Formats: sequence, C-alpha cells, structure tokens
Amino acid sequence: MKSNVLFLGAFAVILTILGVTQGSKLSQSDFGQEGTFKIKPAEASWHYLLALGPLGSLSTFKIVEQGKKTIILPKGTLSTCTKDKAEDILC
Amino acid sequence: MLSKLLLPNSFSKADFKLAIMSLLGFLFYGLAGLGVILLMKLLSYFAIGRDFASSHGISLTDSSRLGGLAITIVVGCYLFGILMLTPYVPGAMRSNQEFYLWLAIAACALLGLAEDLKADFLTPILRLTCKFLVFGSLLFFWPNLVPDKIGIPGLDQALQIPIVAWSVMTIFCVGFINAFNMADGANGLVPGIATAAFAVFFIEYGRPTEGFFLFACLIFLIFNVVSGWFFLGDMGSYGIGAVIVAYSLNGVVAGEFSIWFMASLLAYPCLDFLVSIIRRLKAGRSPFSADNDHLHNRLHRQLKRVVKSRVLSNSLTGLIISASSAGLTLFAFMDSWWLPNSPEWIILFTAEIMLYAVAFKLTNDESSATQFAEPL
Repeated sequence: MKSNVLFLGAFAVILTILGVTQGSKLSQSDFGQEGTFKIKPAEASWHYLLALGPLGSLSTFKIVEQGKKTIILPKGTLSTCTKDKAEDILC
Repeated sequence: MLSKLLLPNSFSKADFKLAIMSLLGFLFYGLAGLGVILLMKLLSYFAIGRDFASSHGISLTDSSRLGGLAITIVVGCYLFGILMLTPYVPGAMRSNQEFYLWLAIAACALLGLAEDLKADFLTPILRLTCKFLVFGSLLFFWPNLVPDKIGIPGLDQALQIPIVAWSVMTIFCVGFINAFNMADGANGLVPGIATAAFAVFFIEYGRPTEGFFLFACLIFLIFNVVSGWFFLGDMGSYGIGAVIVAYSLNGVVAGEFSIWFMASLLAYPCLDFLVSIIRRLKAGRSPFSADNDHLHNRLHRQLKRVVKSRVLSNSLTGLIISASSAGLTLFAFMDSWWLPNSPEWIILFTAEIMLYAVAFKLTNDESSATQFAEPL
C-alpha cells in the first residue's frame, strides 16, 4: 500500500508539472500582445497533444484566441487594461 | 462481466476501473488528465475524509469526501503554474472586487473542508450563519455585484430598493449554495452540472480559470462516475456552488447571460431545493431535515430494479439527471438555439420544470416510506 501511494504520488506530481509546463509553453508565446501570436493549431506538435490531449490543446488555443482580443499589461501597470473596453472580457 | 472477459485473474475490479478512468482521462486531456486521475486515486487512499456508505446520498460503498480538495489542488497548481510561467494575471489580482469575491468563495470552501475532515465539526446553523455573513458582507461592500434588473416584472421594481436587492441576493446566493450541496446525492449529478456550467463559462469567456475548472470537474466527473470512490464533499459542493453563483451574478449584471439562461442551466438543484422544502413543510417537518425522497433518490430506486451493479445504478441516476437538465442547456447553448442573454431561455426552463414534475410523479414508489432525519 505504501509503495502504491508513493508511486501514485510521484506520477501525479510529474504529470501535473508536465501539464502545467506544456500548457504554459503552448499558450505563452506573446500572450496578451495583440496580433503577435505565433502558435496556430496546425503548427502544434504531437507532444502538446500527448501532454494536454485534444481538449487541453483546444482549450489552450481558445484561451490564446480570446487573449488576442485583450491586452493584459504586466503586473503593476493594470490601471488601463485594454485599448477598447467593449472588447475587454478580462478586466 | 466485461472485466472478467478482458483481463487476467490477477487484475481486480478496482484495477479495471482505474485502467478505464486513466484511459478516459488520457483520451480527453492527455498525460495531464492521467496525472489528475492518479492524484484523485491517491487522495482516495487517505483515511481522513472517508465517508461510510450509510452516511451519504444513495451510495452503498465506502468512499472519500475529498473530491473538492482534489479539484482545489488541481485548479490551484495550474493557476500557480500559469502565473509563474506566463504573463497572465488573474482577475483576483487586478480587481479588488474580484479579489473579495474569490475570498468569499474560499471562505465557503473552507467551511466545507472543515466538515469533510471532521463530520459535524460545525453545526448546520453555524455554517449557514457563516455563509450569510460572508455573502452579506460581500454584497454590502460590493453592491456592483447585485443586479438591479433581471427581467422579471415586479422583482425588477423591488431590486431598485438597495436594501431589498441586497437581502434578496444574499438569500439567493446562500440558498443556491445549499441547494447545490443538497443535490449532491448521486455519482455524476452535481459534477455533471458543474462540468456543463464551466463549459458554458469557458466557451463564453475563454479565460484560463474557467478552463482549469472545466478540466478539473470533467476529470472528477469521470472518476466519480466510473469508480464511485470519490465524492465532491462539502468543500466541493460549497466551493463550486459559490464559484457558479459568483459567475452567474457577474454574468447577469454584465448582461452576458439572462436570468432564464442561468435558471435552465442550474434548474435541477434549484427545483429540487424548492420542491424538497415544500414537501417537508407539507409533511409537517423542518424544511432543513434530511430525507431520501429527492428525485434522484426516487429515480435510483427505480433503476436499482433493472440495473444490478450498485455503482452503475448510482452513476446512471446522476448522469440521466445532469444530462437532461444542465447537459441539455449546454447543448442548446453550443447549438445556438438562442443568445445567452435572451429571455427566450424561459421556454427551456419551463420544459425542465415539466420534465421534473413528470419524472417526480412517475418515479413515485408508494411501497417505499420516506426516511428522514431532523436537523441537529
């Protein structure tokens, strides 16, 4: 039982770290800077699909697409979130 | 039967279920989904938070109540990761109103966690008072969260009076969280409704937070339905109930969702709560007494007659109800039947009321007496 718990715990931690890093890597390319997204669904490599699955990858693309409509300024300079308030769903 | 045909003798039924859950988690969310299944399996080993068969809903097997904790860990890890690795700044860090809203949600979740870790640690009255204090204070200090118009004649005029609006919305928020908790009686019922709700919010807003909740709730739904080892617990039902009520308030105030859309999405917990209170008052009992005459209890009694597996009959009950209420609304939303802020959703909500009434009548079993327990 104890070895089962250790085994499960270790794998859960490793796979969660993998999910977080791959998801962030897929989404962060110029995240929040309008019109400069590099990654498109067709360019996604197989390892993103393996790490995040079809729903995880699609969700990341959705976040990136939605992010295009919003400028997220760096932490600390948040008084003016967007150019166009009507488009802003994150402020 | 299937496990006997497919797997060697050394594989137990539990191993077979874990394999099925891992496969489904992997198919939907890749290795990240598999990681969450393993985390949930790990938490289900813990002695703390164990729930015995006699004390929860319609389950007939011992299980863990740490599902809410598992969802919190998953969402927390992914939010922390994206905060560290990307420039994304969540709303709670950008807006004081959002910060206090999430603080109120965290307070509700912690109330539930205390109950999950030690049953009856807090009396029901104390928990209810705390929830009223949390949401009462939140809506008092942030009146922007209170809608001044919801499209119901009469109520709209009343909502123009600030004290009335504050009272109505505080009672609604606390009532909804309790309704969500009360509906959590079958595998896949509340997790199914929560998954549908977060799918709607994610499709509408497309922000990482809703995406993480959708991910955690869908994987939890798979784990809960296939194994029956793991429940949301009070932390899950209070916490997720509070998140959903917060999104609903924000959505209605901003004009993104109509009140009738939210009513049809969350029809089951609301209808079951109201019907349960009316039922208990008619029987001369306290409206807060627990009993086994909810629609999910009735449907489960009928399904048990035709389905031999205890977990399968339990899971079928939850899935049928969540799919025919919140699932139907999600389908209508994705299929663009009406705009989400259209009052036409009242048609679907009315259909759901009729469906509830018909199902409640058809599943009535005269031979089975209602069991109940008065509140402490």
